Amino acid sequence: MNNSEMNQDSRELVVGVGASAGGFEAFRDLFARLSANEKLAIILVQHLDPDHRSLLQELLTKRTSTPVHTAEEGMRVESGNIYLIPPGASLTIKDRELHLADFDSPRGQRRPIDTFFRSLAEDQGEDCVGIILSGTGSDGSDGIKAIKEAGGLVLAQNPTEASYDGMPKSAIASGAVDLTLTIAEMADVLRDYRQRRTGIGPTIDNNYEFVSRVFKHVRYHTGHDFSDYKQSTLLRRLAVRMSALGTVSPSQYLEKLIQDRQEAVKLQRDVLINVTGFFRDPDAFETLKTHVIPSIVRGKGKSDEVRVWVPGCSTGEEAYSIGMLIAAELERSDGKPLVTIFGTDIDDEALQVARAGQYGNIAAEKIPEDLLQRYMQPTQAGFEVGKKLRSLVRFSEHSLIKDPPFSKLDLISCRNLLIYFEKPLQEHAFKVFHYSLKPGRYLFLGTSETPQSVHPGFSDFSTAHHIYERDGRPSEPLSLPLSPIGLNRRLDTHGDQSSGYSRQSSDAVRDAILERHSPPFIATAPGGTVTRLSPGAEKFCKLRSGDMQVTLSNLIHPSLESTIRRLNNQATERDGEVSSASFTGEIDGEALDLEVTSERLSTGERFFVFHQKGDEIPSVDRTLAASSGDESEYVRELEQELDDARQTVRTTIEELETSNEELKSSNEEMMSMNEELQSSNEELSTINEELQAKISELNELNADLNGFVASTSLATVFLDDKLAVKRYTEESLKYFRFVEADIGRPLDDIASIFPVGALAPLCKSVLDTGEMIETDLKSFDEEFEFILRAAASRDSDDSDLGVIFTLIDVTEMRRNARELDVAKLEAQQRLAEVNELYRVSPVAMALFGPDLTYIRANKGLAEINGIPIEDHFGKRIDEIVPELGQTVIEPVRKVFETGKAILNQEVVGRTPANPDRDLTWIVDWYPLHVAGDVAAVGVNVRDVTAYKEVQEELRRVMLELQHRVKNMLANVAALVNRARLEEGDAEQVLHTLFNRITALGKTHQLLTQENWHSATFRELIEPELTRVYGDDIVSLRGPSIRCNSKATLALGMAVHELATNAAKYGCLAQPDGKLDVSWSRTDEGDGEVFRMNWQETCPEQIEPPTREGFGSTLIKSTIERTLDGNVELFWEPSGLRCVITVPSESITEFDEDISGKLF
Amino acid sequence: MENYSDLRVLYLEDETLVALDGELTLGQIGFKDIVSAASLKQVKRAGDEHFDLAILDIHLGSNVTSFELARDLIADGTAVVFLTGYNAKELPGEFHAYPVVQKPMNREDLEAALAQVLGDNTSAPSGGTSDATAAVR
Repeated sequence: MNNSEMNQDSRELVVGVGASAGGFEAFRDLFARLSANEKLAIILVQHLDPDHRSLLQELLTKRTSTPVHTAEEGMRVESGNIYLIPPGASLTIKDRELHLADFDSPRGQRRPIDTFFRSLAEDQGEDCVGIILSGTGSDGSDGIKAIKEAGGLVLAQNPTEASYDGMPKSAIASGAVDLTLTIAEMADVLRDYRQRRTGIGPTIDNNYEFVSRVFKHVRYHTGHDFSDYKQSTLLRRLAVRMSALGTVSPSQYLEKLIQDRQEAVKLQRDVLINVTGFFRDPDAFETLKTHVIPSIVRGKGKSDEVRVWVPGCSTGEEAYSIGMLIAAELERSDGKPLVTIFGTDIDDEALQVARAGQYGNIAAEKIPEDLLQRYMQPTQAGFEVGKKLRSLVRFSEHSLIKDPPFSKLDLISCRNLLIYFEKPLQEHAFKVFHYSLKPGRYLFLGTSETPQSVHPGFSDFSTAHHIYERDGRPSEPLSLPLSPIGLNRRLDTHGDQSSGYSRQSSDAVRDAILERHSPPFIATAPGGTVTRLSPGAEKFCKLRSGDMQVTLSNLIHPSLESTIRRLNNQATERDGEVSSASFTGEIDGEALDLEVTSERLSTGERFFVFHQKGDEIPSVDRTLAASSGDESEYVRELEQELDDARQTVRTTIEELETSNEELKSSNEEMMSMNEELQSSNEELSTINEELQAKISELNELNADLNGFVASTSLATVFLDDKLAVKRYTEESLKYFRFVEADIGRPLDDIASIFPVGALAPLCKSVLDTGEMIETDLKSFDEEFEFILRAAASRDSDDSDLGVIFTLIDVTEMRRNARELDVAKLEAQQRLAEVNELYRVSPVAMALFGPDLTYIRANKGLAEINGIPIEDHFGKRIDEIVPELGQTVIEPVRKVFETGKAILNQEVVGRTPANPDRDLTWIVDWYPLHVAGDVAAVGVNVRDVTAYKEVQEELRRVMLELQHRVKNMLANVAALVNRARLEEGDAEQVLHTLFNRITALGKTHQLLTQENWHSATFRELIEPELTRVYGDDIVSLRGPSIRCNSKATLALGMAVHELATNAAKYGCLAQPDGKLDVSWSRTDEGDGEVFRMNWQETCPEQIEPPTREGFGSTLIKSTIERTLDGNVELFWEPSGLRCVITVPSESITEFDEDISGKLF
Repeated sequence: MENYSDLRVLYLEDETLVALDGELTLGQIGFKDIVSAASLKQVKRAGDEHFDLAILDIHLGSNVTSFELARDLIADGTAVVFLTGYNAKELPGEFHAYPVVQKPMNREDLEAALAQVLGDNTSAPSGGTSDATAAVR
């Protein structure tokens, strides 16, 4: 790496784009092709009408993704942005910041592109690109030279593509354009160039071999050796060439270079950088004019020479500039020395431009007014070098390095050439200059060039302007570098043979003889061109102004003109014949008496020999000379006439020149007017382009709007500011009876289904206030309802354009809204009903969401769960009734899954309400479908715990009943079984059995009446006794004593047996028998006992039974076994006495298990 | 007959009429030494003397059963036959080996039950009297 390594930032490219008429399309396309990440900062400079707001930013923003800014004072230029010159200001760049200034020149002469490009080149050096796009005139042509010179890249739009080719053509003519491209190619080249600078640059930098090979091929093709030129410059140019060719690798480029000689020429030309100009560095030229030129011109006579050399003159401006200064100085001074200015360059094409001497309008800006007037001729495209100036300057192809230099020079101007040379080459150049200059004469260099430290033979003359003076020391011998090949090869040149350097070497002896021993002569070719002057013949010649023709009649001294003419007239066409004419007169103040002879050779050449009178004249045909005696008078008269005529012609010419001057000045005025017109024309076309773009956008917008109006289903009517119909949508025909002719008619006139009368004032108020109005509207028949929305349409200046109103049919909507309201009310009612149902229902109810949380719960459920209603919501089932857990979650889940109800499931468990007791519920789970999905699961819960308990009780009672019935049957069976053992009459036995069973039945009936609870003892015995025999026979005495069921049955049986016995054998069998039954509860010390006393009173004596019968057994068994009591039977003659004693507890201990639960 | 006559039998039946009939039946079968009781209180009153056989009505009035007594008797080596007026399902598992005779008790059922519980006991004192004879009776 070398010092070209810089930080990335400073190497970012700044691209200046200059465009004018027809440029909009060009840069729009260019920008569209460049994206923001190209890392390019682009500044667009245009000719803008200072009084017209530019729409450019707006238009460009739509076309490119790159941010577009209008330049402001001090704005920093960043990569990836586009900056636009604002109207009415001149734009420059300094330190990467944009600066605006007022134009300092009148409107017709502004050159904003040149101004900006120059500042760009100065600020950015080689990191800039100048692009010239379509436009008329020549703005930018000067600026791109500055860019080129700074090492930047210059592109121009292809003139055939550009709408206006003036600017591109002028740019190309300036020689500073690297590439002429179409817009399509430009973006690629820019991108490529940027990459090459950052990418390939270093590669070729390092490739020494590549560079030396390039040199070799260029030298081979062109004969120029650039080996000692500065490498950085060369590499930059190589990069540009490679960009232009689109070659990627160095080897590819070498290939191209080897095959294509033109490429070598192009590269050479690029390296040479044909950048120059008139009066570059005006201050330096001022010094030249005031100090240098006078000193080299003054004091010189007409035999003296002023010799000036401009090596590296390129397109000749520098040489002509010096020429003008010298010519002007000559006019001021008396002596008329011969002035020769040699302009040399190795670039033949540049030299052709220099010889043509035609320059653009730019010349007018640079050349001081007086010099321009005197030495330049205005032409259509600019200016042309005048004859006077042209005669001073000669251009020839010549290499400073390898060709022998000019000598005896008074001034060498070599500006901005040495900067491209490496030091060895510079040393050589200064040696050449030292050799060429006369001592004390001047060397004029460029701003960054100095002989100091390179060559000691120069001293400062004007340091500020780089003018140096050669010292007096003798110059060193020159060793011209030899190139191995192609030393004498030249670029193809046109046959301009006027340069006098192709001198043939000839016989020195003959030359010596001719020079020293023969009279002066002039040789001419056939046709009159002078081919040779012998020494001494030059005094018979005189150069004159005007087109230079090297013919004898043009070169011959005016005094000899008539003599020669006569010779020409008299000359025969015969070879070898000599004619002569004499001349007596003064030539340049010297009195001469001459005999001029002319001879025609067989080759068609002629020579004229000037013999002094008295010289020997060999073999002259004297006939003509002799005849001259008579005719001389006649000839003199003729010549006198001719002189008169000449005088007349001269006067006429002077008059013509005067009027020519006048014409010239009016032409110049016209030119300047033309310039002005051209520039306003450009501004106008810029505006026009912008407006065109705007119009096309508006057209698009309008088309969109039309499409919208056609397609919309909104009834929209556009009114103008007089409330007349401007436009309406298709839909609005439903409501207004528009016909095409209604457009322009006031709204009031249109028939409609609305009260239009009300519409107009509304629109009017919208128009007045500018506020939007929205109102409801009904059709006449009230069938349709609408919302009318009216708004003012305004343009950007806020002035009213009219009213737009839109009708929105809300008939359906309103109806739906009303239906919705009804439905809502109904739903609310339903909800209230449901809520009420939930509230009052005895059934516990709840609703679960898909996350198994409570959505709803009623009081019944809250009571079951023992948790307030509100606390249920949002909680999961198992959070509320943890003990039931999965039992109640699973079915809910299942219903959500299947969508089917689960009904009548019994659930047993505990809830917080009854944590200590199992309860039983019957539960239903049912799905709530919303749109086919199960949205919730409802649950109904009925507490059946009490019912269950009753059921259980009933079951037990049934069992008990069954037991009792069985018992009863067992009793009956036992009785029957026993009866089989009875002796006696079967009829009797059966009867007894029947009565026993009947008594048993009665006792049961009694118990049943008393709820199987108990019976009083009196109730127990009354049916057997008083009801059968009456109170007269049977007396019953005793307290009311309740007996339990067991005692009732046992006592009942005992009393029945006693009564049966009494009725058969005892007192009741006798007519006047009596029976006393008394009972009591007493306590005789062994605990309370119940005692019944049965006392029969029989009028007739009775016999005690012979044996104990079953009846007795029964009585004893029942009382003793069942009641743990005691039976005493006393068979007395007056009747049976029976005492039954039973512990009270046996009678009164109630069988709680059964009593009270049977029904 | 003499097979049973030596045996001391406890007949617990709270229904007097049924008990009378039952005693008759037991007498017919051959029992001589019958202690008939209507309640547990009466059983107690009968003393601690060993019973060879106990015929126990399960339900003795309200909420009173004879299971406790049966346990004591079985512990004493008494053969036990249960009587019930209910369905025979209520017998606790510990007594599943003991026969239950439905009331009203008929002689055939009782003898079958006795054969089941007294098989070994009756054969020993009878000294060679076959089981079949007892079973027929």
